[in-house]
Amino acid sequence: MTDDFDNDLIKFGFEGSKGISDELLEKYGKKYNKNQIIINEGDASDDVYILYEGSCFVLKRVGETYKVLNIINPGEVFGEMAVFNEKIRSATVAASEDNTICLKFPKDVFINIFRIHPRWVDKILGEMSERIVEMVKKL
Amino acid sequence: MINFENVFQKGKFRKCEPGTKLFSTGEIVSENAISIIKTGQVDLVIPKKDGAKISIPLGEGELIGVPEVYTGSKRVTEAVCRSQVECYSWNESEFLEALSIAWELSLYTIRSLASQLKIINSEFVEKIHINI
Repeated sequence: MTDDFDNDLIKFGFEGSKGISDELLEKYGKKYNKNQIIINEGDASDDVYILYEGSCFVLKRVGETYKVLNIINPGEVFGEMAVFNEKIRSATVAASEDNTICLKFPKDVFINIFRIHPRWVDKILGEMSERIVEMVKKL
Repeated sequence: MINFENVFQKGKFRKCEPGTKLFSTGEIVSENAISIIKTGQVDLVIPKKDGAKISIPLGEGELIGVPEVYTGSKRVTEAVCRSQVECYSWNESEFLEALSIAWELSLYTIRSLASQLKIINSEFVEKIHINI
């Protein structure tokens, strides 16, 4: 575990969303306005986000506009593909309403959380699987 | 690469000839619910509504069949061996047990889904435009 890995993160690792403390929110929480970009397609970054409040669009840039791939709801993890696959962001994520709050974790911190409890493997595999099945059905 | 012998003791070893269908679209998930490719190549074929097909080539260390197990849906894709393939297959409970004993397997699974999702993302454009 890194020095960053404090008790608040351990609690969060074990308890999931129920275990989000005020301190954790203060340290890792970020607030976004409607249409504000959180992750930009093509950028090289590997932070992982968990949507705490509000909602987000997953978008694909097509010429001058963006098209919606998916919607992210509170509790969902996003940006994890850059950690487990490659660093270049394959899609844009933007807040779809004002006061959208995300927890933004650096890769190393997220991997430590991920290893605390099997819930995170289940959660990420479940969410990615749902995205795949949903999108395949729409193709 | 994962140490297959150690991690997949509970899995069923299978050797398949080129052209073998591991599963077809619309099938109910069966005994060989999830497979990992040890050697060879498998095409994951996605049928589109317009009749066209998208083919995602999967190779060594990649997982097949995970999304349907996690969502409880029928097969939404078809998996066909492009070459001779050696793989290990599990039913759902065996896979979950393998995940619990092998940290590496969860990473391989997530990586594999991420690369599939990336290809599907690039094919998928919903008819909603957002101006940012």
